[in-house]
Amino acid sequence: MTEFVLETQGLTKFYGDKLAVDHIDLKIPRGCICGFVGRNGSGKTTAIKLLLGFLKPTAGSSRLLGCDSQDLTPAIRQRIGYVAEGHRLIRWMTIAEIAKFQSAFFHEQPASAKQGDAGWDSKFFWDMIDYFGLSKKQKIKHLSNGQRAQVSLALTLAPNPELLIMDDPTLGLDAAIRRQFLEGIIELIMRQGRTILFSSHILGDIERVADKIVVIDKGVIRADCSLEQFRTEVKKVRFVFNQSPPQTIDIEGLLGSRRSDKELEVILVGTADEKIAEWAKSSGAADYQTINMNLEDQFIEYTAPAGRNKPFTWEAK
Amino acid sequence: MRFFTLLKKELRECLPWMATAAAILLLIGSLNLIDSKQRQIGDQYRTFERYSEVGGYYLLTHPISDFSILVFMSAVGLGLALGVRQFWVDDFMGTWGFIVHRSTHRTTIFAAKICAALISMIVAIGLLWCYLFWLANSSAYFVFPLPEKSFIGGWLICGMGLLFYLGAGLVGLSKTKWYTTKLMGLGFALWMFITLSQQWTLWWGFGTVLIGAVVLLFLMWETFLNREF
Repeated sequence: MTEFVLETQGLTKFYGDKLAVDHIDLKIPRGCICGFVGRNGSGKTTAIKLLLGFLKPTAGSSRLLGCDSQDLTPAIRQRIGYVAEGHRLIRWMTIAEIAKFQSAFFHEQPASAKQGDAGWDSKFFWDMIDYFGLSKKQKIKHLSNGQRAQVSLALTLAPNPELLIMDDPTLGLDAAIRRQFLEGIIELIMRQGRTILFSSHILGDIERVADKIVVIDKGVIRADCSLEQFRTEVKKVRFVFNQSPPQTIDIEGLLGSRRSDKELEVILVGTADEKIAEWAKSSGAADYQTINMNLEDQFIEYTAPAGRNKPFTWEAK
Repeated sequence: MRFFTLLKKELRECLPWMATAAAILLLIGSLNLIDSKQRQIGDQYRTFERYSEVGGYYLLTHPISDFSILVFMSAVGLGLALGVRQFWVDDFMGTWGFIVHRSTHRTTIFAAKICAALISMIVAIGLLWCYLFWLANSSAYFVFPLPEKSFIGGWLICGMGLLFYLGAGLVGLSKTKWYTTKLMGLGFALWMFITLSQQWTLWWGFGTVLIGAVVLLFLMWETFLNREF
């Protein structure tokens, strides 16, 4: 039987009369690396804060490592690593001080511990700090965004958490630091049985590490599948006509369309190739081709607002 | 262990405010005492006649009356500063997530904050008050020593600082709107202060401070446990 490390049931959150998260049902099995993607303001941070018990749901519930999010015990929190958006750490502390502060909430790993054992792994922390080229005397307030992200990652990974929840950890980081950050995550993935929920809107990062993708849009889960399935099923097809394209597009799985004089581009989800060929024939298309998209293009098309079927144009005065 | 780690962090964060309040109190208090000594020469009998039987009143009519106002201002100032530092700044800096996601109970985090503030108030205001009282009472400064009641009166003033600390903390924790109940904490502390000033006796004073502190502390604890971060 699959063990779910993270489960939600109808998780809903209103801020006043504004709906932030709408009936989220999620199940993340142990060992899964889940990319949690959405545009700005789509509800990612709210959902993560609900999961960690920082916010109270208006309706529904969630469980982490079998414990209700609203009643996470210290023992459960110890098994969950959390990287907050913006890597907000205690500014006046030095790296050595914050390491001491963080380690006080975990038991120190004995010298005989193997890699992957629970508890504060001091050696791992300092190795990571050395790798990032930081010094223990540096104050958090004097670190750049990227360096703060590195310290934050080292602090979170050193206790070897069973479940790692990261809220847009690569936001505002340059490509080199993002790569180092992802390498840190991959290091954790190498330890068996570790589960990661990784929110981001940088799709390249998700593509590199995730094996499951959850797309949230306006508080609603729009996709919850394997990354491979998402890559296969979201398609852009361009139909070429000898005359104007038909006004009605009755093709299965249609998500959006964009038309020009003699061309029609459609975004399809889960439509079989035979169905596409069938529609091309019935609609009188002279030709059609499936356009290759990277994950970012797929995500943008998948979450594009319904009315946005024309590119932005601007005419100089 | 976890509590002491949190307490140490909180004390470090209170330290600049504690040091500032203590420095102001010590500096102006000492200057005031020196000034009072000079004024007292030739005026000692008149001062003696102005003494009242009620504890706090001694402070207000004694040549060091300015000094009692200084203690009050320092205590309230420090109380407000600590309340803001501990319960507002984490909101502004976005560090609540890091603090609250500790493998410990929220009550422990809250208790560490309150204990750190109490220690800061006692060290910066209470102990300095003891020192300045002893200094004022030594024959080098005043011919007529201050009665014990006025010493306790100084601690009452320190207690007022604590009420303002709790009030400011409650305002910081409250997520209601400014024009609704958000300011209730400070309003309550102010009301306690007015109540206290209406009838200044030791028992009444201590009773008021104690009741006020218990009410505010309970409200803060309740808010902290159920707050969204």
